[in-house]
Amino acid sequence: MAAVQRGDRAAYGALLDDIGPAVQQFVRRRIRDPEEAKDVYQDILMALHRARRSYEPDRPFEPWFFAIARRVVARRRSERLTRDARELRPSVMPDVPIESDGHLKLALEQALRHLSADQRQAFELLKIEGLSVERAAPRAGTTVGALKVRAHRAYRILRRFL
Amino acid sequence: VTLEDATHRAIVARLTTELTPARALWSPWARLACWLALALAVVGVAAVSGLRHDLGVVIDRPGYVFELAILLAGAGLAATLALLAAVPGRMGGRRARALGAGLLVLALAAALLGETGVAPATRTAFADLRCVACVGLFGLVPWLALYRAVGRAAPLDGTATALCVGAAAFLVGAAAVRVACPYDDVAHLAVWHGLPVALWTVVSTVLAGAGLARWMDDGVSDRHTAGG
Repeated sequence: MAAVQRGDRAAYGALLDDIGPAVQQFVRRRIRDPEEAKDVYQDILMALHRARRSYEPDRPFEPWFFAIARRVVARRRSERLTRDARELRPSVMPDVPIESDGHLKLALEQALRHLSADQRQAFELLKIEGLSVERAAPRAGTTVGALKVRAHRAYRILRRFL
Repeated sequence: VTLEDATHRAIVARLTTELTPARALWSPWARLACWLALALAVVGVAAVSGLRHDLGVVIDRPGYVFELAILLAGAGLAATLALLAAVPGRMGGRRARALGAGLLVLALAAALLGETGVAPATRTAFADLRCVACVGLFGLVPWLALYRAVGRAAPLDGTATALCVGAAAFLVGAAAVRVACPYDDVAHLAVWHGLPVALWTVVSTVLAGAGLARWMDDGVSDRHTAGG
């Protein structure tokens, strides 16, 4: 980790490869949903990256790193609880099927086929998962500006086909 | 190649590409020593510029010195909590409980063992309110310095850390006002010196608590710069 603080990319790659399996195990034990576990895994490694200056080279790495990992998992759980509390869940399903809903869903699926993978991902992160641009950009592995451009293009294409 | 392997490789490629040197911070103890020097300087400035003209006399009274020592020790303990809490893995539950208990003992000692002078009849409300403002003003520089020191690290709990930062800084403010303010009666000290510490601590926590933990949400490459 001390080499990582000096900017040694090879050492960084080796460190991340070394801790990867332990982190995956750590996350799997706490997050059941595989997709969410994948996101949390990335969030933990990104938090390590951002906090690297706070590591003290003369102290053990594990307590420092797993304190960060525990916090990332706790935040994710807290966010999920908040989101779940906000979502509306009907206690009784409607008797009459809503035909227009099915029609719209089909049309949306067809329109989504015209998007590139990046545009589709931007649309899903911002409009289906409801993330802010700032939170969605790291998830998509791009910058805020680039994500906005992708989303804008996706909306333009969807407008054309809906 | 599993999905997890692919995820791992993608994130590793991205993080290694964006890696820049990030100089390790000084140890929490070195930063604490610097901050305590600053805190003592603030109290020194208050002593020189304050309204208390009998400081040379009262400094010989053990009760007065004891009160000042309690305020500064409380500030030191709170600053220790803040600086340790900003380094992941440094603040275990046992250590936090010990430091918190130390703060509580100091607060009780300050409340029970302080001086009990007599209130002068000529004191105005302006003089009382001036002490409230001065606790905030004298605490401002220590607060900014400690907030910066803590913010450069990686506080995991923004609110709790901000609470410690506020308590440390405004206890220094209270110590500075204690050497600058000419009044010694216990009612004035409790209401116009003691309560402002709580007031400014809460205000600063509300304003700055969320900001301290925002590093977890920032972009990957915008937090550290070369040599920074």
